[in-house]
Amino acid sequence: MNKEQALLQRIANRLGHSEPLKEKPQRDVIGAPDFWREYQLSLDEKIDRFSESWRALTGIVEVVDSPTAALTVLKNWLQSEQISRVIRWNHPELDNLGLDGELQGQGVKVDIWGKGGNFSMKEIANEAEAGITWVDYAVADTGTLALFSSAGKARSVSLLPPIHISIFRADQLVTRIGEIMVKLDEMNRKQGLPAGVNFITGPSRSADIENDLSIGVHGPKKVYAIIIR
Amino acid sequence: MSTHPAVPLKERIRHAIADEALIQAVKKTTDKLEGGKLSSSEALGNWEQWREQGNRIRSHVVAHLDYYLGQFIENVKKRGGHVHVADNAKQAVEIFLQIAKGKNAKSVLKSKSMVSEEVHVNKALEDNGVKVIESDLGEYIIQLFGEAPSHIIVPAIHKNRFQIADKFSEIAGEQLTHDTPTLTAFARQVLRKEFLEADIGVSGSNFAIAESGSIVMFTNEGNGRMVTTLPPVHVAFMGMERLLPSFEDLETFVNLLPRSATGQKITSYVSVINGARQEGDLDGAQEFHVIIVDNGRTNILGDEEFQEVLNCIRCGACLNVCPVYRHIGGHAYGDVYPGPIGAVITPLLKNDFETWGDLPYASSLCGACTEACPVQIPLHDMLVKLRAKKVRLGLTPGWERTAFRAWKGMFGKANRYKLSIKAAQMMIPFLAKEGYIEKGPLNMMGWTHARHFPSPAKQTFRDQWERISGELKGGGNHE
Repeated sequence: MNKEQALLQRIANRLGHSEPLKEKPQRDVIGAPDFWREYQLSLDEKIDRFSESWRALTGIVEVVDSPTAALTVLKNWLQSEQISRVIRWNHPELDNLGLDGELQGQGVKVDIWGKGGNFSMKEIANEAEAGITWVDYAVADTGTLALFSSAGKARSVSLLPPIHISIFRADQLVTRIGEIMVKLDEMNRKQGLPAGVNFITGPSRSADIENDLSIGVHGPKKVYAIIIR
Repeated sequence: MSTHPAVPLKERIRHAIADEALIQAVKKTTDKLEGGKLSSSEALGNWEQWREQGNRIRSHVVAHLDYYLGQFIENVKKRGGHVHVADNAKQAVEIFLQIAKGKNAKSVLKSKSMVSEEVHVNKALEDNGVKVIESDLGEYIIQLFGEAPSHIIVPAIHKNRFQIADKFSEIAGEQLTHDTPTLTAFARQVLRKEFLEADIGVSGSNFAIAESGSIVMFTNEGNGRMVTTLPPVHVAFMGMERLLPSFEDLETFVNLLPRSATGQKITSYVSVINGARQEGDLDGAQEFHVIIVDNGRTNILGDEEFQEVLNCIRCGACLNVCPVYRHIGGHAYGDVYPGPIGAVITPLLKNDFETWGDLPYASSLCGACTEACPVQIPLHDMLVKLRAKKVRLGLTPGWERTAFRAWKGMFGKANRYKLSIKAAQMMIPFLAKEGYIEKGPLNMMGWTHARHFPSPAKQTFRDQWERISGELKGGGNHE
């Protein structure tokens, strides 16, 4: 009997089972309470609720009607933040947006995750002044972004630069975080979970010094979101 | 394995209450945290139903822990992760040292993990010449001071900004101002370099998902993400009871944990780690290890009086409302888990009532902890049961047992009780001054050492009742 089996047997003994349970136990309670599952917002309500929650935590958000308008907002933000270097996810939606040419025309160097040649992508991300992502889902209830990692969608991009800018379409909004949790369970059952899933709500923060809120401890200090209707 | 606190509980308390700055800092922070919890749980609504749901999910998991832990272990391995089991603190440290030696690690970067504090891994690493850095801002601060955390959520609750600025200035080699943005920026700059160079990243796990073999962390600063994203090896410490069956269940705890801990609707980051990086990924650890720690937890399983304490999600809400914690802070509890939860689990985990059996007495049994607990652990009932257990083990002083036997004999019979009350009343003029007893006799001295005891009423309830009921019978005009 190895140590894992020994631990499971010890637990079984304490619980009055002759050997560790192999059958999935029956249970009458799963996930969130029933009343909460009924919570469902319309598309407009989701946009409003997300924006309200996002702003409550110092986030900046713009709701636009077209990809072109999104690009204009992005360019303005980068200009007002005086940013000269960004790193972005290697994501087809960001390719389609055509931001590389537009930003470079504005004098901003754009690095794409995974296309750094011989340079370390982590170093490149660490030196970038902003990271740009196209999120997988967003949660209206709490103003939360959900980012699933993959080769082109690295975790470092939303973590290392001092500014994180995320773009998504309004139909990627869900009401509750639980809707994404159910999707994760489904992905897992199909062996399709990514290595990392991050739910991001607002900037990096801490209240560890005299319980005084400070922003941007290790992660981004500023967070921006663009919602395309 | 049981550790011994340097001085007895009463000494520790005396030391703590003499520290005015500590008491003020603890009070200020706990007030803020508790206020945040109340307003955020009220804004969510149906808080009692959420608690009930949390309790039922956690109770189910703990009652079937053999199944869920077995499932978790199997799924971590399926993803190529390494599973280690530590029966006790010593083994947990040995396992970690083995991993560090195997990787020839020079530098270990930690994010917050209460279990790693519980097993005391830092000292062992330092003794072996491995640099270990706590990256949570609060943990970083107390590590620089060479101290232990004094609150589960706010570890450096007992340090003020002036003390911190002086300490940071020593490292910076220049005098830093004491405003929090300056101090935070300094920590960010120093630690960012360390994150990028570390050989091993260490995290805790707030929850582990059995069905997928994932670990879940709730963090605010982003250091938890750093240590699991940048170093080539990630080692997660995990108490063996941390499980939830599926991601769907996590929704309840996303709603319960941050509100109970800090009053946030959700923490800045909820990070799910599903093993090491996958094909094509250029960040995330290349190797994932999880150290599953028992360290006394199986002692509590199957004990119907205390099993429910394993439902705990380590939010710290019971600390913030506890009148005793608020007066003495975390260090007086003598071990890593302070407050009501610490007073319950410390003697149980260590299974040593001789050394730790006095902790359950650090409570007024007011029940605020039970009311605050997001998973409905009846903490104050457990504190009473732990006291009873200490008595059953014969660990209370002889005079106390004699006194209670005398008390039982006295209070067991009505006439003896009346007699004792009369006798006590005759003593009042010798003890009380202006309505208060300032210095009690014998074992009452413990009480009156730090506060006054109100003098008993001149007329006892029984005497009053005799008079009132006599008047009533005597033909009042009531209906």
